[in-house]
Amino acid sequence: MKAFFSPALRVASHSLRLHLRDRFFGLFLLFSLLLIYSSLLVGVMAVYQERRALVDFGLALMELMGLAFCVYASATAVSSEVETKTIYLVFSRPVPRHSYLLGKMLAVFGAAAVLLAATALMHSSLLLLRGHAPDGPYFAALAYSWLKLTIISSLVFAVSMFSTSSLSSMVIGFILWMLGHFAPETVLMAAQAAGEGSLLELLARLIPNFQLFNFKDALDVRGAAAPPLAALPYAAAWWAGSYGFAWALLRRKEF
Amino acid sequence: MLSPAKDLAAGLLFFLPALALNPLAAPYRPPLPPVGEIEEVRRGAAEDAAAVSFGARRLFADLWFIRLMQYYGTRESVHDERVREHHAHHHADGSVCHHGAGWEKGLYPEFVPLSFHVLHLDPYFHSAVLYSAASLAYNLDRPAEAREVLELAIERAPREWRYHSLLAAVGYSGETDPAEIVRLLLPVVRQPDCPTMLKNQTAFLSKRAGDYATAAAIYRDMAENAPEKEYAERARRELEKLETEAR
Repeated sequence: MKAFFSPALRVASHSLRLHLRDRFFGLFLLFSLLLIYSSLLVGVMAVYQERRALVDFGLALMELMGLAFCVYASATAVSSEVETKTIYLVFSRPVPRHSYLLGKMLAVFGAAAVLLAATALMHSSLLLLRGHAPDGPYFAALAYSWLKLTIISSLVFAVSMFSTSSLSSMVIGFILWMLGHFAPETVLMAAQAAGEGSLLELLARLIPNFQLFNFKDALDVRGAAAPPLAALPYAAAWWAGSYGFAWALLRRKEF
Repeated sequence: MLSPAKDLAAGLLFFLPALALNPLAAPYRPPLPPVGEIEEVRRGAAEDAAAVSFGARRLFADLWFIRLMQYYGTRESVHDERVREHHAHHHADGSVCHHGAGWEKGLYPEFVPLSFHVLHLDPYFHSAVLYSAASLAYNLDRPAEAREVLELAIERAPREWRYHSLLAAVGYSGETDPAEIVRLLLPVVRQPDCPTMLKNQTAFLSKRAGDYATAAAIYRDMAENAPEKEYAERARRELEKLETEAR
């Protein structure tokens, strides 16, 4: 167990430091902060609904910027190390491939958490400045957003193992994100188009249901998102599935 | 050694637990109307697709509500200047001519489609629903359409008691006794996110019903909390009038 997790944690902490120093991370952060600040204007236009407009814009922008970062970071995590040949150095040391992969995934999860926390700090300050204290549902929506980001990151990791370029992995990542927000409809349409039990329907089922975590879309509605006891195992199953898939392909790769 | 295709197939097996959990996710769908029920307005289909696929229906509901307020806040020219002049000269005393009462209020043909659109995106957006229905019922004299908006809102979000209260109040609109309407509207007006326009209407009806204490309380709340300067100013003036009358 220690031989599995110890190298993974070392890879994770090193990769997390690299992510945080990366200029793209800085750009994503800066851009998020600028957009959140500019949402003040929308708040003013919404007149007596300023709080709602500010909260909705902030949460959506944080999640979208987090998505852009996670998709980019996950698609390039392994391929950039192959291009720069850094991966040879890593594998010349006693670092098993499964630990390396886990470390890389955990680093992206961590970087997503840092990005969300930094932007949430700025957004909460803005809300407080306008006299609207962020409440429990606000932080719950943030936590659910992070879960969504970790699932899409792990899926993009899996895709990047067989995709021919980082760009195509990113495009597939964005498509999965979009389809995941109407997963039940996607399955229904696939079943109608190709018949029940068809390959197309099976492929449609290979899309996680992101609505399960979309708490920010129904902040005022009781029971709008899955309770943590249901959401966490669901997210864990997708992390494990993506990790297993990526590992099945990575173990055979020749570097 | 396995071939790449077999590796891929073996890798897919790892997704089996996630697939097995998919049916468990079904009961936790947010209680928002299905995608197919969102009707397009102003050629905004691409925007609606973005709202759904990025999981940001609430955000887009906010945007459409801002558009609705801007639309309704823009004066609609339904009659030409000559008719307006005629009214300024001959009906300055408030008398009604053949154009009918409230002729200058405008038609706003997009008001109902825009209201429905906000509702389709987020039926739990209380303020938008109350604003739309109250504007239709009390400002535009279109209570039937106000009822349509509220009935759809109740169909989508049956537990929203504010909708039921306003629907009942709109139902009483034709009656001569405004006290019953005030009684139905008061719990809605006491909510912090109640549109100022509805508060103003309730205060006016309270005055008409002879309940000056309630009217004064609503005007005081508006004077202190209304974000719209015009409403706050009007509430101050009304308060002064009520105080003068009380003396």
